[in-house]
Amino acid sequence: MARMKFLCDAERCIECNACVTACKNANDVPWGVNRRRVVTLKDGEPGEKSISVACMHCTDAPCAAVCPVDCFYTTDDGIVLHDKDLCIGCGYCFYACPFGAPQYPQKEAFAVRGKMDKCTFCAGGPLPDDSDAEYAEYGSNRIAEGKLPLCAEMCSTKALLAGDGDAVADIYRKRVMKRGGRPQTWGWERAYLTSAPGSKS
Amino acid sequence: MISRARFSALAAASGVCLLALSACYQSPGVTIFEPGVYKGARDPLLAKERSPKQQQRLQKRFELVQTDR
Repeated sequence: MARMKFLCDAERCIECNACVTACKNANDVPWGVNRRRVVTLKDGEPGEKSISVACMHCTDAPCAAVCPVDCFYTTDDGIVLHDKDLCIGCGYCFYACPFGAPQYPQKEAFAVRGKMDKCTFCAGGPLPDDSDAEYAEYGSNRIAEGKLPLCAEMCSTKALLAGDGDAVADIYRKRVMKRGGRPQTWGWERAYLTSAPGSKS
Repeated sequence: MISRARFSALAAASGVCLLALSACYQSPGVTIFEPGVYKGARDPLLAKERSPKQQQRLQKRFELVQTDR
């Protein structure tokens, strides 16, 4: 049985935010909610790095541990999902999550929080697969269709990988072996600090 | 003396009151809450995920779209 995981290769992410757009488009994510975000460190400085972050579908999910209504469940593939009919929007999962994945749409006046919304690994929720009700509440169910999350599938640099954790780790391991450390093929050093390959200076 | 019509109206009203009151019943049984156990609806995806065919589809898809460039 696969163990579904995301992995973002910070050396490849170009902060294009296409994963964020793809997620919003595929799942019809409401205004004000971002299931996926691109976080950039050292923005505009040498050594700038970006990483795409969403729910990491933790093996021992802290959000599920703190939920007072026990609305979380984990599929056999390790995807952490929740039932919005049970969720009371208390926000405990937001405080427990180290990645800031749970989001709350503002549905009423006076900033009253709606039901929690988060990345579903494009696996929908506890409603009939690919039904209109499931799409309206949780977004698309690409896993039931035999597809992987759209954010990773359309990543142009293949920085974002999604799938069985072992297969993802294999790809990443091969990349690291090939790079032999931090690559400077298109990096700051190549552009500004060193001379072009083959030049004498 | 109460008229026949008024009597039947009173009888009907008391009948409705009795019916409403009888609905105010509290079960003496205790609901045992098991913490940490998922309480929501069953996801049909769980059964689908277990089939080897589905696992093969996902593996094939991974090789198709996640291969390194």
